[in-house]
Amino acid sequence: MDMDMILSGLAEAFTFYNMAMISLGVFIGIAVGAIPGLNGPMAIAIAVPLTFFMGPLTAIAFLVGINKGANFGGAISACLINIPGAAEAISTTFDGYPLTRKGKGLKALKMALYSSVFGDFFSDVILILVAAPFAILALTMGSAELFALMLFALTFIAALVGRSVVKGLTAAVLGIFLSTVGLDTEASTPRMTFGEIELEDGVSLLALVIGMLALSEILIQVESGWRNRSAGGSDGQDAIYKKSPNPEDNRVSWAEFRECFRTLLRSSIIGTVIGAIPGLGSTLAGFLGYGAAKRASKTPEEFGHGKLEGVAAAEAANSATVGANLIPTLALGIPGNLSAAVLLGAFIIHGLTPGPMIFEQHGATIYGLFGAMLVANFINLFIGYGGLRFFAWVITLPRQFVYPVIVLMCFSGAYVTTQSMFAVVLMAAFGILGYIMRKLDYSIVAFLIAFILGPMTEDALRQTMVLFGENPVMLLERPIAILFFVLTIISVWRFSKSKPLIFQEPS
Amino acid sequence: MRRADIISAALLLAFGLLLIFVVIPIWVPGHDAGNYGLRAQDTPYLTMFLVTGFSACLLVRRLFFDRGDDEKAPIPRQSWVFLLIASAVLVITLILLETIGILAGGPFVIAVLMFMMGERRPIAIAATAVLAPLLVWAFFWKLLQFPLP
Repeated sequence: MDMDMILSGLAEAFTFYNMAMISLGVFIGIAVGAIPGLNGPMAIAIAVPLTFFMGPLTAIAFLVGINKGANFGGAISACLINIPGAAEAISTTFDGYPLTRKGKGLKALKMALYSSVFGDFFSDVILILVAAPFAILALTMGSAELFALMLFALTFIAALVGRSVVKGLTAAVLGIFLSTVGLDTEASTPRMTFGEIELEDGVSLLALVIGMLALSEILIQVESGWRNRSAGGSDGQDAIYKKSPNPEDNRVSWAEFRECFRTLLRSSIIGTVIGAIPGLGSTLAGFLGYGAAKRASKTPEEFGHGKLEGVAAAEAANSATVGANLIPTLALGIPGNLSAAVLLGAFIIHGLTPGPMIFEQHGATIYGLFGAMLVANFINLFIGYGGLRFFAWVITLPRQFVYPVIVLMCFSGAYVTTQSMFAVVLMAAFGILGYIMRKLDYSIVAFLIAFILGPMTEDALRQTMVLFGENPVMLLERPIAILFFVLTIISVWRFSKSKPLIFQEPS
Repeated sequence: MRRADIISAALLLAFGLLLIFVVIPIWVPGHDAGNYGLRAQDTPYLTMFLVTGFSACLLVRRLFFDRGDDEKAPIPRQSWVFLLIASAVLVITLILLETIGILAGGPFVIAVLMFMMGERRPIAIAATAVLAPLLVWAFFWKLLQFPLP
């Protein structure tokens, strides 16, 4: 890959239009992430149809902006009202909310913002340094290795998320099954299309993602409101920070930031490593970062009682997964988590197929994306800093106004995907299915990732069968493939024995 | 969760068997794989065999080995009632969208959901139900040039 392509790609990120779209994405992301019950993957899913009129780079940069913004947005409600906007911000509540109760809410928010941007920036740099070499390494793999890797990734994710390994695996297999609907890629044989022409292209990815991620979650939130029926104007989230008369309580001093620097670095490394491994989520990263900071501290007893370092540790760690999640997504085509899975879907919709070849085929776009990611961090910092009061107000918006409007956005988003009511019907059906799956603890993460990886896995299996069908013993000459097959068996066996509760999928 | 696991595993088992013996044979034409390695029906069959196997495992385990692990049902009766109402609301919304358009389906779904979430002020419901679909319609149709139903 020549330097000109890298530089032109990076320069592309800095156009006014792209910067404006990234800013819009970050703004939407923070606002959505701040509202409890709404999260980044959901916001990305609903926003994908808005990107149809954009070029690939602008579209992906806009969605990445939403992802980054939402990651910080979750910390706002975590700090101010002790309700994490998203699951990854749970560990931010441990010290963020006690700080708010001490009248230092603004200090907690600013530390959360700085830490989030620090962790995110760190993992973006690692992504930029590691993704391309990783992809080159992946190019040396044949179909057998690729199939073994996909199988390992799918079983690892399925076994990891949720409480039950069997149910995780069932959800993943159902996802692969659903991906087979439509014309077979080799012989164009229609598979389970039931005579519907609209199913010949397969199940619409966006209808599936919007239904399962957004509509099902909103249904759960509406149900919660329906069962409580306590509304009538506001829902009682009134513990918003008040500006303290002491200026020290409203800002993070340089000395305080420097004091937390080692923690920020440690958490960023933890978050990056966790983020790069498919299936391990940002929630886990937040807990591990927080735990490591507490263990390393000389005053661990202060954690949980409003220690600034606690906020820094949790936020840097969970935000450091954002860039790292894209390492397996871009280099191997295997999404690291739910956000990456939806982003992967958006890549495909915009004609970019993540995987080892993406740097060869779309190098300029990918380096443009890297540039956009770096810029998005600074935009996140400026918008987050300048809009703290606005975003603090956003979390007080009555949910009985917000959620019904999002449902309407789900309908509109599904319709514009194909300009047909068929996709809307599918979206509604998947919304109901997602609701039931969430309630019965069948992982929608495993289901969605398997749906996205299904066609690639089937193609790799088909090629492997062509190569080794007549002489399967030749597979023994492929040590990498064997390694992944063995890892697949070990991961299923290991997680079926015992699984820490921390791996439970956020709902 | 035990009772829910038994019911969901039994339903998935039945679903898997239905697919294996009825749906796939009818809706996935069989052909010789030739040099392609995999026939079109191989992956659907393989995945459904796995779903059936996993469901059978879960069913047997929950029926005979995890007897003490019972909890409150994860989907209580109230949730089923909610699901029924929500499904009806979605179906009516789809019909309104199909027949009249977003400016009829939108206000309906917003008003009903707001009411379900506890909003009781008619003006607030009416204003949101009218303004939000108008804004969404204007955004997609006038700004992005995407027609909505």
